[in-house]
Amino acid sequence: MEKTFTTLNQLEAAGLVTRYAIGGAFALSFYTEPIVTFDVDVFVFVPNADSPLVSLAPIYDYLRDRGCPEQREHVVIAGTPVQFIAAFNPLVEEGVREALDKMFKAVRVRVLRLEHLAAIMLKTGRAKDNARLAQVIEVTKLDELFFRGILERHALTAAWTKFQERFL
Amino acid sequence: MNPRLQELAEASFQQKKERRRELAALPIEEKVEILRLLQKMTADIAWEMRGVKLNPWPVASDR
Repeated sequence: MEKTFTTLNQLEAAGLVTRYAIGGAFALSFYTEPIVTFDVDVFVFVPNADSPLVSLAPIYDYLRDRGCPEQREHVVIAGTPVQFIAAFNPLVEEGVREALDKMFKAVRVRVLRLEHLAAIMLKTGRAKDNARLAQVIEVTKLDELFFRGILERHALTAAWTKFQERFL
Repeated sequence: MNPRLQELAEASFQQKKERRRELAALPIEEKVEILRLLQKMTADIAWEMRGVKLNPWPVASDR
């Protein structure tokens, strides 16, 4: 994993991404019990994101030149399939902006905050998101004030009330 | 319903929750090792039961 995270930091240092943050099930593992997943989701801001043709191709080119093969929707970095996802809505954008630096052994890696991960699961709302969110609530403690703020800014308060009625 | 049985069930759920909290509190490096074991088990089951090939992350990716 260290090599994978180092490569993400290099992508940012090289300007291929303006900022990155790990999301998805792997990011949750920083906060909860380990959750089975076979890939690492990485949300990115890319240069020229205002252009109608946002492309991740420069990232793929850079990594290919460094021996990281593509495998369907993933790039395999040091044996770990990584999926790059351009930050696609205001909630994810805010999550990437406010993501936290964490350490894995001696390597810095940026990870979405737990409250943003919870809000993204709530917004996405697939069966597995609901199940995971309920698990997260059981074993972790959200920063209530911060989470409420996210819910309000992204019009998720009603969805949260409904989720609580159904699952908690 | 027998209240004693209900009490025992509740205690068991609480213990499980407590163990999950202990797992959550482990350092991320240890959680990744556990994740690798879970990946291997999941991959074995997927292959045995469905013929689906999943690739656990290699330990070598740490080097």
